[in-house]
Amino acid sequence: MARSQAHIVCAALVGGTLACEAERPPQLVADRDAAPVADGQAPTADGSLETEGFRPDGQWLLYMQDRYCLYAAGQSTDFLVWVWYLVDLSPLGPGATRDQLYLRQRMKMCAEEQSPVVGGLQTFVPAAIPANLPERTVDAFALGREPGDAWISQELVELWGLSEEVGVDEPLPESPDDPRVVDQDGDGEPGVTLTVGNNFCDVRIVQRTRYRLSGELVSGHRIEGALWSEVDKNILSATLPFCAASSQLEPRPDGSRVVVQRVDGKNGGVNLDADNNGAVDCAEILAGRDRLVSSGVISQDRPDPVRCR
Amino acid sequence: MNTTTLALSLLWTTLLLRPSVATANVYEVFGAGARAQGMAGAMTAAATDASAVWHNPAGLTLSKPSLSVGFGGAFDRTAILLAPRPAGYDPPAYSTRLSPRSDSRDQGPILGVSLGLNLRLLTDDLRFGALVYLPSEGLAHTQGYFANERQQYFDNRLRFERLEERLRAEVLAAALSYRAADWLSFGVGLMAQSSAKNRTRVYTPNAADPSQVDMTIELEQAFETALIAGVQVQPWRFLRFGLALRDELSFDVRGRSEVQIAGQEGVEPYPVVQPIALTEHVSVPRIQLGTALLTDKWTVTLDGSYDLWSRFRDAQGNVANFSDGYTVATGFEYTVRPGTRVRGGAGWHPSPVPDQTGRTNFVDNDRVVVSVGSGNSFRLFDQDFEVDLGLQVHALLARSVTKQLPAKPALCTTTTTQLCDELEDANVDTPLFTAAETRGLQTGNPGFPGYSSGGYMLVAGTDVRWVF
Repeated sequence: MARSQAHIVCAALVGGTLACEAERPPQLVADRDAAPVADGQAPTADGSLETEGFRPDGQWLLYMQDRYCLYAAGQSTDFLVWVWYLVDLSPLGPGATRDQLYLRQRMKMCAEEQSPVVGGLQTFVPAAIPANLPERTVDAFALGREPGDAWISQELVELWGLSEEVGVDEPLPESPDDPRVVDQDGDGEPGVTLTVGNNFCDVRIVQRTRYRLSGELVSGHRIEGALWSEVDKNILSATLPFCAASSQLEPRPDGSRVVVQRVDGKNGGVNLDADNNGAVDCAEILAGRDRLVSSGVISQDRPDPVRCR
Repeated sequence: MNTTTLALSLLWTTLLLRPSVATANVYEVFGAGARAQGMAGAMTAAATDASAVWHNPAGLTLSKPSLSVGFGGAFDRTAILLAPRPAGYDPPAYSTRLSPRSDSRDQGPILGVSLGLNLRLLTDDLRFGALVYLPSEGLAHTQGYFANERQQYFDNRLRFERLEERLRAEVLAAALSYRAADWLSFGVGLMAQSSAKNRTRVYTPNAADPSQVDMTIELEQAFETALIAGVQVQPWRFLRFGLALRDELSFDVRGRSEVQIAGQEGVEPYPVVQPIALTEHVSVPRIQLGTALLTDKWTVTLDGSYDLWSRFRDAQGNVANFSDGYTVATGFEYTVRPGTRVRGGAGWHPSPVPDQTGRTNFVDNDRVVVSVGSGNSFRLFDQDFEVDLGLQVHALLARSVTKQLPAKPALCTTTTTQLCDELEDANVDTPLFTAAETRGLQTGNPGFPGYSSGGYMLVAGTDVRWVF
């Protein structure tokens, strides 16, 4: 029924003195201004500011999503590991051409998360492990400063529960009494202790992970690329025999990736410096983690139940 | 045992059998039966056929036994129009809601069938009456709703809290009536509403893949009932008074889901228990008083009711903080010639719902009712029949709501009553928001920043009654 007819019905009903048809309210509340944007820069899809050119000096987030098929207890599971690093990036000097850069990457692991495995059990990496890992210095090379230019990093090796003398090809210790085993997380037990499930069991391990990273610049504040990793792990002990069961990891490079994202707010990068002290730390990385994921700056896949079948 | 004793025993037994609780429905809003619809529902002292079960069971003894069937419907032209959302108030991922925020219009016709019975028990002074309304949507139709920001995750619109779903509920009511003297009748009965208890047990074999579940469902259907009672006093032949009471009744679903996750066995809490609670079609306690002026040609009625809307509960079972309120209605019936009657009426139903300037969006309007109707008696197959027709227009007087912006919006919790913040303030810019944008209010409440409601409903009903 047309609006005018509705008015007639209502007017007839209430003596023409009252109207019954709702009228859409006007804009009742004014728009709230967005945060000011400096220097006329326009916000990009990831909420940062578009800039030109790659400027490596500053603080960056290095995010790795490592994907495997995990075989254990007769089942295969799509297994994901998400690792968050804080990276202080600085130029070492020019390359063969003016635009090529040698880079120094001082990397500090902030957190590692793992997807659930057999039986839905999830392994939790206690905060003490990344907190007690030493900072790693890894050099890299950028073939230019423009989007599309390649970025190649040296191998990053992380040792959990192992002395720094353990070589990259050396067999890992199998006994907690091996002198190369250290109580890295400070819990009084050799190696590092991982918690499985909601205190379902504890597993003490030593582990060596080798990461090889490469990619390309996608903007002045972001690098995206591929990730290859190799994990060697020995279980030293477990509070339940079930948790000491062996497993096999098959890397799935097609689901693995790395993102290096500027997070100090400079040169158009996002700003995770919550306390405005001029430096981003791991706590600030972790505090901003959910928002980075929900905004799409960091893409975090979920396990695919059919991927490894 | 004499008749009086028998009647009192039956009434007392009925009262004792009454459980503790008790639905808004078409009868409450439009009136029970086409005659009542033609007289704007002002029937507390005038209903005498099976519709008396609803309006005042004492009236059952004042007419001949009868069996009726009726058909009715309403054409809904109400609307809730939302004010444009201002920029800068969106919570995270607001644009990805499954349903975009939208107006509420054209909720579809309301159709149903009524069956009524007024039966003599042993004597003309003792009657049993029954009244059933079956909506076209079927029995136990319900649709949950959050009258606050949580509705953004569902159909993301507002609804008329005292109409819409409440007009799609079945009615089951029965009553006994006894005429103790020529001037005194009373009656008591029950109205019933289905309820359900639900227990769902879920086993998730792979916590990493929540789409894989094994599930068993236990569903137990039951009925809740509420008391209806009334008395009619006719001190003079031309004047009758009626008093009727109705207790509260609602459609309730209660239960729980028990979720087991593989690998978490023995880890407390195990299983994870998720409570299920839904309350719909709430009828609040009502007391109504009516008079009827009776002459050979005229019946003129005047009704007033007092409703305890302060007891109204929302779909989650929480008290909605409405105000108790009243309604008034008047009607007439004029005998044009023997066997032919015309009717008319008017009613005023002020809204018990306060202005929704805070977190909640209970949409409701003052309502004016104007009605007309007719009734005819005829004989067919040597039997007496009556046919009634009733037409109503319910005008919802336009009402606008503007939400109050709190100076310091609080985060949404179970106890927050003002418009609340869904995003905690941050001190640092993030990829999604600058720190400045997180400060103050971020809400996806579909009622923010305001809305207008109004419109009208056209109601029509007809009854055919066999009088025996």
